[in-house]
Amino acid sequence: MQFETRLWSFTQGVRGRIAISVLIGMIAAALGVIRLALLGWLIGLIFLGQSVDELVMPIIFAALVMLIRGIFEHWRTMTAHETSAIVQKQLRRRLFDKIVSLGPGYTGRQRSGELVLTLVDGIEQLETYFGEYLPQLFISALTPLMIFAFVAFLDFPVALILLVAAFVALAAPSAWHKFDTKRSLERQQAYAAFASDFLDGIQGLATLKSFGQSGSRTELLKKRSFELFRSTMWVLATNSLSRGITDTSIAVGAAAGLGYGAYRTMAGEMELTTLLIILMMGVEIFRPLRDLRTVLHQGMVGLSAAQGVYKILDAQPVVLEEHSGNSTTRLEPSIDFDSVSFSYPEHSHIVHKCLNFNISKGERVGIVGSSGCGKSSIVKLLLRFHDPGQGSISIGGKDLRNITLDQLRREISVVHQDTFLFHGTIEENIRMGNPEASETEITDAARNANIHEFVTTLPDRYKTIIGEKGIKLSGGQRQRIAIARAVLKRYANFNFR
Amino acid sequence: MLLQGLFLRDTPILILDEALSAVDAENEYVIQQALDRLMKNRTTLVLAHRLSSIIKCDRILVMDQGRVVESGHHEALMKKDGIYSALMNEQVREAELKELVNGEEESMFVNNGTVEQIDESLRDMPTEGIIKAEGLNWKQLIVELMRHIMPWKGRLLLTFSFGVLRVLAFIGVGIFSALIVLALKNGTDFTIQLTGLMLVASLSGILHWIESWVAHDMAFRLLAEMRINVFRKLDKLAPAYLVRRRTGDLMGIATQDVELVEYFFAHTVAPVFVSILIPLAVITFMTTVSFWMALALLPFLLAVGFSPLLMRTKVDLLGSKAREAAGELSAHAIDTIQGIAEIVAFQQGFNRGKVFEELTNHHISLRLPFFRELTFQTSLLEVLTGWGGLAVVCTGALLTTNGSLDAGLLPLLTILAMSAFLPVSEIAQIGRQLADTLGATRRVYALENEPVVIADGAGEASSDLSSGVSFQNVSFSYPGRSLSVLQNLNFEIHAGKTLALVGPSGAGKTSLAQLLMRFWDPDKGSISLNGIELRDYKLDDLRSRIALVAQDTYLFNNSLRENILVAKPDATELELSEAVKLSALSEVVESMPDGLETIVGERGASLSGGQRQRVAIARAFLKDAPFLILDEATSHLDALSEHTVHKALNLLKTNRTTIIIAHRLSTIRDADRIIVLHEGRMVETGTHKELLQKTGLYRQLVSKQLSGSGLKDFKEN
Repeated sequence: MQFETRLWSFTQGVRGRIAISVLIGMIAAALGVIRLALLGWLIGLIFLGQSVDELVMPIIFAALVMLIRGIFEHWRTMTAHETSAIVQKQLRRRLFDKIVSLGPGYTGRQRSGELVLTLVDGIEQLETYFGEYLPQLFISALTPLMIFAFVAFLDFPVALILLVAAFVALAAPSAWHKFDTKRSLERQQAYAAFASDFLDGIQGLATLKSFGQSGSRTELLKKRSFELFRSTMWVLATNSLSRGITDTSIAVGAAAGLGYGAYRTMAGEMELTTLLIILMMGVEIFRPLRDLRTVLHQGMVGLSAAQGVYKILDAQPVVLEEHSGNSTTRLEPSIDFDSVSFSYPEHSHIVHKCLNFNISKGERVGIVGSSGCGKSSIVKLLLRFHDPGQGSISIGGKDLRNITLDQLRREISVVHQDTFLFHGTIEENIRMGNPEASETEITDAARNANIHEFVTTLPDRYKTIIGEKGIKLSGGQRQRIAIARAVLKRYANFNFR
Repeated sequence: MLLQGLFLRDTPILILDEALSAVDAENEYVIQQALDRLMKNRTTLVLAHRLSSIIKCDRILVMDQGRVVESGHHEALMKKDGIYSALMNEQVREAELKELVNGEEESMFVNNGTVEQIDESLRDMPTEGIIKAEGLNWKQLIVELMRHIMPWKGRLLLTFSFGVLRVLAFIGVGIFSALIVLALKNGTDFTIQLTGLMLVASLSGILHWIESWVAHDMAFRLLAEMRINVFRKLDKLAPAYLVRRRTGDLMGIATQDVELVEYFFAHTVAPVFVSILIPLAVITFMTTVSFWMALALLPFLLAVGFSPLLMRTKVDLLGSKAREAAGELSAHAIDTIQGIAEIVAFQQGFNRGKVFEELTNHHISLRLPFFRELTFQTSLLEVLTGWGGLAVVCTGALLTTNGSLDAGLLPLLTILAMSAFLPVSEIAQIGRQLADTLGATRRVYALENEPVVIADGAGEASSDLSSGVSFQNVSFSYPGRSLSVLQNLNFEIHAGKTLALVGPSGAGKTSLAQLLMRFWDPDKGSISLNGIELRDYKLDDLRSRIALVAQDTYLFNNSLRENILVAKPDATELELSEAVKLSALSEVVESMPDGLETIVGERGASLSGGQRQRVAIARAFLKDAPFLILDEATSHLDALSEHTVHKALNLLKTNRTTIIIAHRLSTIRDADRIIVLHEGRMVETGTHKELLQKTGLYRQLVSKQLSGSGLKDFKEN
């Protein structure tokens, strides 16, 4: 059966809850069998010719057991959902923080559609894995023993038959576990490929339309969508095959148990009432195994989603955080590039070859050069989105590698050439420079960037929503908001301490 | 001392990375002053290709091939006749033109107080963002989804048949078992029954497998179709519609929301029929044995069957709201991942994460009550099923005591009664689950039913490619907004001529270009190309006649080659290399590890702004359309590349009608005609020389730009 030690490590903090789920689930399963056994016993009593008056108490008892079973079942499922919710919250935040800590050096080389699919959809799939699949797996593993214990109490040989059937039903699907995992992984990749190409397609739709190329993108998406369909069917094929085996062994097991029981009854080795109980229990006795079968699919999708999660969690940050740096002492604002050589990961092209320059405190230095000569890479190195291959960069005489990332980025304000504005209001976008800023500081910053006048003409002024990537503004307006943001950052530390 | 201490706590290092390249002249001047204030006493690194940005630096470093090759003051570097002077010569010459317009710094329109127009649809425009899960009711939902299924009638019938067989086999196991007990009780032989039992038992698993396969095969094929339809629809609505939407949400619709419709296709349609057929058959059979038995069972069966229809409002609302919440989660995640550089630089990771967590919590807070309802329903069904069986046993007990029923039949009847619940409770279970599907389908259809504003014209193909353009009384405002972007615009461009559009940012220049591409339609007046109204063209035909180099270049996460070939997928290798050469892209290609095959990364992340712009220009060269629109096409280029590109563009412009939108003098000076736009109106028109002789807006814009270059201040210092 699918059990992964790595996924198990994510359950920290909810293991107690999972144990409770298993316990409640076991009781619910036992009650489920008992309520049907009671029906068989009742019919047995009727066979023996008991009067209706004598049956009143057993009937009320059976009705009560059914009700309690319902309550337990409800309890079990809700516990499962609550556990899932906790895991979902924890895991999603953990993954989010990991992506942020990996930074632009990592995400620039990934496809955002895929990352988001893992972050939103993938985590949701894992949610069912932890909430429902995992407890059910434990319950199922204990079921054969429970069945045996219960039926052996009625009749030992029949119990043996049922035990064998239960083991086959439980063990058969794991025969193609490996195959399943492979197929699940393929499906996850197909899904991610579709999502990424879809997102890329709509974000660049204006470009595609200008060139009349949206048709070819549609063709590509058609292909991706079909691949997704095909890989889904492959997952289903192996999945429903193992379901088929489980189902068949359950049905055949129940039938064989009954058939053998019938011969034993005929030979007088077993009571007819016992046979009635076995009859009424029927396949219900295997219920936990059937339940496992229905969540098996989710378990599998969860496993394939887990591949996406691992991929992010295992990613090595391009730069390593150094904790030894003392973040309280201020650095002297001088910059020194000492024999810096740099090329982007997986790229052979050398961006910087033995780059040397220094900027002393308070100095204003301009850097010019034809585009692509490595100007912007200097910024990326200074912010430590990447580390140089050779040589060292230092601020205030201290190597960047010995400064915490937090402190480093607190020292520097940047206005980029491609500013990124977030979906939200103008105020929220400027406020990124300093979340604590007062309203006056924000308008001051906006005035400095010559955007205030414009903002006042808007219906909702600073509360105006500017759309994704500031799509509702012109290029110049976007740039000025970015400048306001940087201007505001100037005040940031002034206010903090 | 105290003041100094406070000051030192400021962000001490400032980096300006081409911060002003997208800003127009008028704003550049003002912002440069603000930046000058900001730079005071602060260690500053300015990366720029524009003279105005770097001229006041204490020291200028000139880079070439990854190392510093020259260093010094502006004037010293200019004298050197090296790379710097090559890069800056043109701009210095331009700045010196200032003599021409000297002495007009104060202006009447262009000052800090100029009220800009809102560039795009902001006023009175509902900012919807996330697509709402509203509208569609159950009846409409079923009609809509059935419309999709109808072409698959055969498969649907197959699913239904296997569904019936599967349930029959399942019930058969119970029936044969009960018959064996009956035979035992009566002391007769049960070999036949046992054979039947073993046969049916082995069949039940296989039938389930086939049913599930057939149903899913149909369902997932339909989903694949729906996903494509989402994109097709967006294709028709873009780009106007995308202004109001969030791409992460749209991606969510094409992936997760569509996925949820699977419930309906695979687990609802056929099972509904099965769940009506089987209980009916059971009740009929029961009636033939004993009317009372059937009567005892019926209320429970009805209660289970109708339960999914009751108390719907709350679940449906929860399901729909949850879909919106999920959409918002995706939208936020996309925004974060694509803007990660900004988040990291401004140390907003924690805050962004907090918002993300709140969105997750919101989603969960909608899910838990939903699951509670769902689980309650399931448990209730379980209890009712048990009680239904019990009711049959009780009635049986009464009937056997008064002798009207053979007790031996009791196990059979009980098992039959309980199995009647099987398909019904399956469907009841799905019924609740369908609240998700409803929410998801509502969102898919909200998109599907969005009216397409810009539609194909009759398509009067004109073979004449000479492309004269005329605007007659054109007024335009963005939908749902009162403020007009363009007002009563009248002008004409003769075929083969070049027109330059200038004006303060927000004057409507880009909107004008987008009207020509028919991304929007004007409210009043008409625009025609070659004497034919734009609306009469087929959209593909119209757009194939125009090459637009837009302000922002979008690059797909493909190879450089594929990104250029977007303009003409069937271009020959020769055409491609020609376009690369003309757009000054050869160097870039050479510096790439895999040349043209290099993957450019998400949104072209591995290229600089200037490199991306050159890809856009290469596309325009490759497209080779008779009508060319350059919207700030060279603003990110350094002087040397710009020079190369301009030479090539001049070549391209011959015999082509061209509209240039720019705020840089060098780009517009040579136009046949210049139109000055201000607040959506044409305030001046003429050639560069003519306009300079007037004392209008153009002269002021030029004056601003030249003084913005800082050369004058520099010289005075």
